[in-house]
Amino acid sequence: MSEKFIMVVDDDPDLVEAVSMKLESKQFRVAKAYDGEEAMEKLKGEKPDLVILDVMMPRKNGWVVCDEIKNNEATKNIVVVMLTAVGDAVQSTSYTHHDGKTTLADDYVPKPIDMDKLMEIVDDHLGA
Amino acid sequence: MSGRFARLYQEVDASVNQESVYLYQKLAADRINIVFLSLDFLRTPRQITCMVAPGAAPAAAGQDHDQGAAGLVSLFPHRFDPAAMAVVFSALGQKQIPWYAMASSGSMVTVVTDFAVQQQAAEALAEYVQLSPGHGPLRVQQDYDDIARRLKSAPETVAQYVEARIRTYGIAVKTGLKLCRIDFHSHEQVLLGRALEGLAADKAGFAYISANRAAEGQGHLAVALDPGQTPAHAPDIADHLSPALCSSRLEIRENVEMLCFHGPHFGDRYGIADKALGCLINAGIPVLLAGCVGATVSIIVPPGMAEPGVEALSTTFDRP
Repeated sequence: MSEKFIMVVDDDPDLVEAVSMKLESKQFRVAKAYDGEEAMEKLKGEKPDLVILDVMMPRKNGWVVCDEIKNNEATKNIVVVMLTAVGDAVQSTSYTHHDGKTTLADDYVPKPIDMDKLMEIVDDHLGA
Repeated sequence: MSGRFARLYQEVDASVNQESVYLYQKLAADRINIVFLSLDFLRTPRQITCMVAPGAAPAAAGQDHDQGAAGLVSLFPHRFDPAAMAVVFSALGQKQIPWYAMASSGSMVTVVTDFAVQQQAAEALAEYVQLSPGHGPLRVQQDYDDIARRLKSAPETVAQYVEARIRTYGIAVKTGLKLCRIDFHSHEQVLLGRALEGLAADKAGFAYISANRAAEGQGHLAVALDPGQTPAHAPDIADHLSPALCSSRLEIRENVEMLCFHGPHFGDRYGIADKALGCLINAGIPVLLAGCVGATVSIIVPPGMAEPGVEALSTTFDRP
């Protein structure tokens, strides 16, 4: 099965744990971060294939983290899947959020997460 | 570490006053969010600790309930390892840092301390654990940035407050749990920490923990152990705890059950605890313990009551 590496970033530790356990059960390697700053710090040392990224987080929000990932030569190829409860703000996978700023996320999953749907999206992007 | 909250505490002697309005009910009626709840109905008096926004406290509960400024310190992920409890008891007991309540979620152990010693409590815990690189700062949590704050107050939260059925990530049930309730005095905390380390060394797993400290140094810890996560050959919890706490009382109930669920932004929304507990109580299902930590609600019920509990909760909470 897959040896792919995924980072889960959300300020809800219970959600991080639930998603991580699901990913680990599918043989993915998982790293965890609980806010945007921590995610960016970890991305300096680790290069996941895919980041599951919450939008509303303390210290640095998901929009900013996504921009930083996608505008950095070293990390721009990491697939970013946003988690958001503000589904209305999302029109497409390269969408415009409330600030009128285009993000470069590759996909999104509305909250509350349908875990099977999330796994499908992960598999689609990683070809697992 | 959380920001500053008000700690509210209520004791109810249900044998005397059966018409009591519980604190979580009052707060829900006043549309006040509970960011942390630890409820213990195992004995009389029944005890409830809630944390709410500071300005909300007097209007919601009356000055007699308001115990002053407090903060939350959370340790995660606990992976259901009693070592997380051991750290809390050992670290805070060693440094004699006062705390008032504790409860767990699916990944966190959260402790209520005075706001004035919150930083000290976080640093004491940090001495016992290995923090990951880039971890959140050991200081009072700052508010979300402008964009996040605006989003949180605009479509998302408002929309979810009015949803007819509250969305969840699913309702989990654990059965066959062994519930241990231990009375202790504050000077026994370090001993209790060591006993819990023994439990961790045996690779026992817990499903839920909660603790409350009442007046004059008295406190109690309730641990729902998950036999499914504990090796069959492991010594009984009583073997660990009784020698350490010979002066204390240990009560064990077999085969209790747990309902556990979490949903988006539950920690930011009022009325979740009231709805959950109301569903069960209206269905005649006794609640032994309950906790709201982060976005998770955990409820311990007597043997055989979890499945009816799921049915009762399903009248109000949506299951994917």
